Amino acid sequence: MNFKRYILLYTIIPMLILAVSASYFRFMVSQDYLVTYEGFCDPYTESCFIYCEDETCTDPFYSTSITRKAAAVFSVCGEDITDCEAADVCTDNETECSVLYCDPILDIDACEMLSLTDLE
Amino acid sequence: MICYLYEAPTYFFFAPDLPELLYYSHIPASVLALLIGFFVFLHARDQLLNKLLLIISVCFSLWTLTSLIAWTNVEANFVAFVWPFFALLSSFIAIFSIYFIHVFLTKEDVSFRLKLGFLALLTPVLLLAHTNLSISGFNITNCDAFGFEGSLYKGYYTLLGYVAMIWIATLLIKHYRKATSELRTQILYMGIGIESFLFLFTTLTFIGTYLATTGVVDDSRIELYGLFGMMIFMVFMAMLIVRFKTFNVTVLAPQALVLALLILVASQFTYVTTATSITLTSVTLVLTALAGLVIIRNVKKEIKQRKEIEQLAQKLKKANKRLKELDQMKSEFVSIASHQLRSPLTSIRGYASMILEGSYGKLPTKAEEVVGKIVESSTFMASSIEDYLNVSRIEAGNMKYELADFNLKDEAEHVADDKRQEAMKKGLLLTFKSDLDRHGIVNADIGKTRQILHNLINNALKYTPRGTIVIFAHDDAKKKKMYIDIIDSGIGMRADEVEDIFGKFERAHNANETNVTGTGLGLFVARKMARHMNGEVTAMSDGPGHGSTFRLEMPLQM
Repeated sequence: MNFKRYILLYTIIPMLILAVSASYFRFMVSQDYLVTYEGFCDPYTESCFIYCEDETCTDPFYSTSITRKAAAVFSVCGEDITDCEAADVCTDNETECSVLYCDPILDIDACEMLSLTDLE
Repeated sequence: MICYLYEAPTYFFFAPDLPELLYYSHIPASVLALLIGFFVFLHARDQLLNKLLLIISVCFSLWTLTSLIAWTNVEANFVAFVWPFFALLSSFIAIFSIYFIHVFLTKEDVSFRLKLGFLALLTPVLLLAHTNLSISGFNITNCDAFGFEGSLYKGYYTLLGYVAMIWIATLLIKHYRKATSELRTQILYMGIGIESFLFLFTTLTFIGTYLATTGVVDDSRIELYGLFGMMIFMVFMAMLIVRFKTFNVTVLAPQALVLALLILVASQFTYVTTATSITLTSVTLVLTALAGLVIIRNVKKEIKQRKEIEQLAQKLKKANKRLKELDQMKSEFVSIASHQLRSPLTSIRGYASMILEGSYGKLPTKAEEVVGKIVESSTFMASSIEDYLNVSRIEAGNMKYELADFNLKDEAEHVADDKRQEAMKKGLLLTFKSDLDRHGIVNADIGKTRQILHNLINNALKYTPRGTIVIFAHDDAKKKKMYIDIIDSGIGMRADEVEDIFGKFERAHNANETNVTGTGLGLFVARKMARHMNGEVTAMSDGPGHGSTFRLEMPLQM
């Protein structure tokens, strides 16, 4: 029986085509997945994640961690979120959008919140 | 969606700030796998084993392609789309490796039930590839999906790799125990190759991605070392092809070595950056290719010549066998023909002797002479026939020897007495002398020994026109040997003829000068018989005209 002999071929190939097509539709067409990226953070008002380029940390970078649906980000910012302020804000009707601030209880070294006296 | 911290690659794969090992680990391993996979497949397309090796090679190459895309591409949608391929291809590699080893060991396709088992193991990976269980999101800051991989899904397909390793090891050990020594070496090569590949590939890709997911390391560069497992696998496959012609493919070792050398040199392109380095690598590659071509061409030529010589040797062997068969047939023919001749000849000799002796009345003198010649000629003919029969018996291995202890000196003396009358007729003086320390007892066939002595004395009588023939019996107690020397004052022979005269139908070059008839078999038969009884017959001569000495040498019974 040829079917018995080539059962792997006859079943795996359709399933593979199905898997690839479904992935293509999900990620490339509908962009139905979450994306996470660094959002804007004001260290004087919020607990931000701090990133330093070197050990002296003369020019630190503050950020939040934003997670949203890729399609939602694309609809407000297009392909590139650089300089897109709308990327940092969840809209009211977005269900899967969250902004994560740094939690000093979990890792105090990763967080920074400056007081206004520092500003003066 | 763009990974905003990274630069877009040029020519799809080439991006800055990547690990130096990235291209070196991906490209040569992938090229080698594809080369061997396709080479094996194209040489024997109908072989299932070859098809399976090709599937593994292609899956691995697609995996490396996916990995390169994930490392270099900044299109989040596209990278997220290809990310599930890691799971699909890793699972295929694991399951098809098991299938491959089954076919390698049993030389036949696996059962339908086992195929269903393979399918059952692969189905969850295939059906869940596009779901959140596989990958739920993408980090466009790091440009990866490590943090969004489903642990259950990832755990499952990683486990498939380890299941494959254990399954294959069990199969190999089971067959290794039953295998012959040559098959054992093949199983060993295959085992080391595929287990190294699966272990390095599965373990290092898992550890690399696990460490990247947990944030212990920034990226999964440790997985790059896992790809060298494929190189180890392919090296062992090449060894199997060259040494054992596995996959029904014949490759010469120099061809495989030259190819390996070319891949190694070409792989330097994956990390050289300066124009000088690229130029030097290019020149090295071209020179290596040219030298390789010359080597392969010469080796092929030598192999062709060797095959021709082998064929000629085979033909010669066949011809030799045929010649031996013909010689055997000839001996059988001579034997049959001689037997047919002997019976009527005995009658002729008998009746002629009776006529000569006057059993049928007194014969006139002239008739007596004629009948005498009939007796003489028929006696010679009977002797010749006996020689032919002996030769054919010796060559057919049918000569029977009945060994017994007897006194050789006495037998030699009797034969000398028998032959004295004949010698006197020719005007020769035949004497017997002895000088023995022992009794002269030997263990041999008495009839054959007499025949040897008869042949040697006949030979002396034939080739001694005048003078004497001395039969001298002596021994050497230290050597435990007994000798009978037949010393004549005949025509003698050259030193270079001494051994030749013992050949079949051989006579001394000056034999014709003596005007005697002979078959050239007497000495041949004598030596063969003596040797069969652990004795020897040798000849000595001081040269033409100086006589000869023929010696029968037998081991002495102490």
